[in-house]
Amino acid sequence: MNKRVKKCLPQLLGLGLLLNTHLPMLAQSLEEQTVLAALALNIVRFTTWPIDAPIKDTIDFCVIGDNVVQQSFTGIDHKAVGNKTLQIINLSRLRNFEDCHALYVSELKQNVLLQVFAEIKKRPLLTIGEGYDFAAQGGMVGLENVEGKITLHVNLTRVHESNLNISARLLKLAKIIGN
Amino acid sequence: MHPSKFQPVDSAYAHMVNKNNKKTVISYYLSVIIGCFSPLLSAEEQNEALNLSVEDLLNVEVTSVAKKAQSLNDAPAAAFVISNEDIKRSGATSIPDALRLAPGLDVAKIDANKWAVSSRGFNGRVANKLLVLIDGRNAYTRSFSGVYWENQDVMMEDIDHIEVIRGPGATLWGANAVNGVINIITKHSSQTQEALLNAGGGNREQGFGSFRYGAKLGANTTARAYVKGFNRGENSNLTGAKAGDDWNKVQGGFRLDSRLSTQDTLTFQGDIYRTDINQFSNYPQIAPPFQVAENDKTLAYGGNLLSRLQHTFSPTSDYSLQFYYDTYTRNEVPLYERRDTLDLDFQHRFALLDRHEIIWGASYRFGHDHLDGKKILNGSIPYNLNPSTVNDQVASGFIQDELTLIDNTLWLTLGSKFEHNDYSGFEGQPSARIMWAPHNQHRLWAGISRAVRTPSRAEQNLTALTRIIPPQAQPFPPFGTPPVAIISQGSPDFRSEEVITYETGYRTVFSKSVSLDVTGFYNDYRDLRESLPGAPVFNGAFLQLPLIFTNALKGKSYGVEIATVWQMLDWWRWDVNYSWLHTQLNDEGNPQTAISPQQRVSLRGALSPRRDIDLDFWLRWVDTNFAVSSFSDTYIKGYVTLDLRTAWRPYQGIELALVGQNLLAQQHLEYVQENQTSATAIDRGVYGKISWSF
Repeated sequence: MNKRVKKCLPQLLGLGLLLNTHLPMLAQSLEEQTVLAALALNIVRFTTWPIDAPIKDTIDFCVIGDNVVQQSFTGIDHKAVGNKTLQIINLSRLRNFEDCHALYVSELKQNVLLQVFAEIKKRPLLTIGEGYDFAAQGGMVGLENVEGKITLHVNLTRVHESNLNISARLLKLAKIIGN
Repeated sequence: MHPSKFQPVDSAYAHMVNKNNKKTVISYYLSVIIGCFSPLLSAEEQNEALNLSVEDLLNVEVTSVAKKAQSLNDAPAAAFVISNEDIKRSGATSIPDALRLAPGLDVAKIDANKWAVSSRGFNGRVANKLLVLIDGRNAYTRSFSGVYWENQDVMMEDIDHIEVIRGPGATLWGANAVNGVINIITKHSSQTQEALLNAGGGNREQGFGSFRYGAKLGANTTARAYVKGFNRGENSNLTGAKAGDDWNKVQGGFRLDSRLSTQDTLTFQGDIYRTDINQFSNYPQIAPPFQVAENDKTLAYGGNLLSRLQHTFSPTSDYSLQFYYDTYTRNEVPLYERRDTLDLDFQHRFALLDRHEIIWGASYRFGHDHLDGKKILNGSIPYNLNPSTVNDQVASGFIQDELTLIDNTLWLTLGSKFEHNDYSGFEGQPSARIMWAPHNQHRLWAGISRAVRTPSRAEQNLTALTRIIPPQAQPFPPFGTPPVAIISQGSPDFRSEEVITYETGYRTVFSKSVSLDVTGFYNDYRDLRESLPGAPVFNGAFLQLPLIFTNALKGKSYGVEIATVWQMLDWWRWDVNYSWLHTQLNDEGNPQTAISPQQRVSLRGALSPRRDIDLDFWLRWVDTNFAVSSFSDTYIKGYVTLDLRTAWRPYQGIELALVGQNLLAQQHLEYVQENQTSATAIDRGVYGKISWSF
């Protein structure tokens, strides 16, 4: 009896592993946060900062989000953006935005988010967040999940106010808010 | 290895196979271990996403099903969140039934219209160590120190989430958050803009319906209004006879949210309800047969109005000012009760220097009550409160500092509530908590807190005839003892119960699809309630033996609570909770306090094989339970029960659901109330529901 159990053990463990979706999925779909992080990287690549922006060797990309969001952004840490490197900074407190060149906001209460925008004002800081409302309420790029696919919303007025420029190639793929 | 000559070949072969097996097993275990510590998102998937062009990224199908299995709560406390989706898929039709989704909570149905809900033990019809708030409004009543769950309702579909915190929450939420706090949060009205119509019925849920309508009132204002009603059928008692516990309710309410400026928001909400409750009551009687039974009808009604103004100065600073009025009336056969509460609450959050986040606040509550004993059928008045009307006030302040010791890694939270109430005077309720995140997949926390449970009105002012011991013909006729009337007697000297709690917890995501949350706690209680006999008085006909409420009892409890989520497949999630609790009181030989089940298991599977189909099953095991009542103490047998739900959405906006509850047995007993009603079993139930949102 004991032998039989031992014989079956590897198979049982194998079954356990098989059921655990850790095995690479036949990827027809991808994890949302992974896609959002990859999109964020691309948006940074398509963005030009004004010449007088305080950018040296790294583009400092600040992230506000939970452990899942933070984990997904480690995947784009140290990636090349032109001749510079992207550096992810996880913000645990909602301040010192002047140290960031780009900011990703995963989820914040609306009243707090509006004050984040008020604080950033017209600083050359690329803001990316989740949902249409993010861009409509004063952010620059909103990534909205519409029935399983991501739609880009760009608030061009805000982008231009901050003297940033987003390439036309990206804008072609986005829905523009305002004029 | 060469088999020895003297060794039977079989055995040698077996040995080799074993060795091979061991190797295989070890390699499997290694892969399991590696799997356990792999990052949340697999590297392959991340690389795949990074290799895609923007066009492809915008075209790829994205999934967020594993999100629940990956998110770690950042609170340095035993916190658990029940989502709107969880509630829907559980099939629960009331708030207390939905609370069974949380680990560590002891939820027991007394009968169709009463529940006993507690955290970490000390359960009862009015479990007094659990604080409950609905959108910031306190649902815990001073009268008997507890929650009338049958009075608390919302449109279940409009609940955003229920936050369950086990352990003391007194520093932020105030007195009576001794073993837990439940925050029921409804959705912002901008999220309920469509109309929703629900209707259904079955054998226990005999008929129910609700309608909600949401609208935009101007550019910056949204609102909703709802009305709901139900009729719930009676269960049976242990002999199979009708238990007479059927009831019905009708409730309506609204919520309005307005953005006054970019910095100011205003919320205004209210509810009104009326409930008719039937119950089969037993009362002690001085004359033979020393106990009488009657069918009682209770009429309960009430309402509330709440407004909250929030002003946001900056991302790190805001304040809120909240005001509410709550009233309820319970016209029960033995007791008329009315309570009006006015509450004003102010909270301010701000950042100080670079490392401190301070939150402080002040509140004031005024209560007015009227509690009158009423005649039962035999003309006696079993309950009396003296005085019958009391005004009481609670004033409190609190301050808490969350100090970041190491950025993104180590936090220390210190705080205390300071409160003055008319029943027990000044109370200080401090807590200290520390949280360590060595990696973004791991959280460790520990805390020590003090909390008090303040005296109820009844504990200070009640006189209640609880039991008659019939005359005994001993030692032999005509000599004997007269009838003895046991009278529960409140005492103005009764003061607060107190706990010091030590807690620690660990949360982790140990693969892309599994998360684990473990909490251990030790509670040291003192000044717990115990009724001790006073001086007996013989009035010529019978002996009156008062049992006076005192703070003589001490005790401790400790336990472990585990919650896991496993997203096994994209369309199949498991939620498994286990809790173990040990309660030890120094009441040997005279148990007066209920002992909650030592173990509870909840195993839930949520399957969505197709976008338009849900299949859910929910298996629960509850260990033996000990309930005390004025008639007798009861050991309630452990039970296993199963709920099933299936739902189909044939068209956009329409859902048909079929729910079976407590399917494994015709009936089972979960709890016995402390007085008045006798043991009522909970019957198997089935209901169907149709929802139409448009």
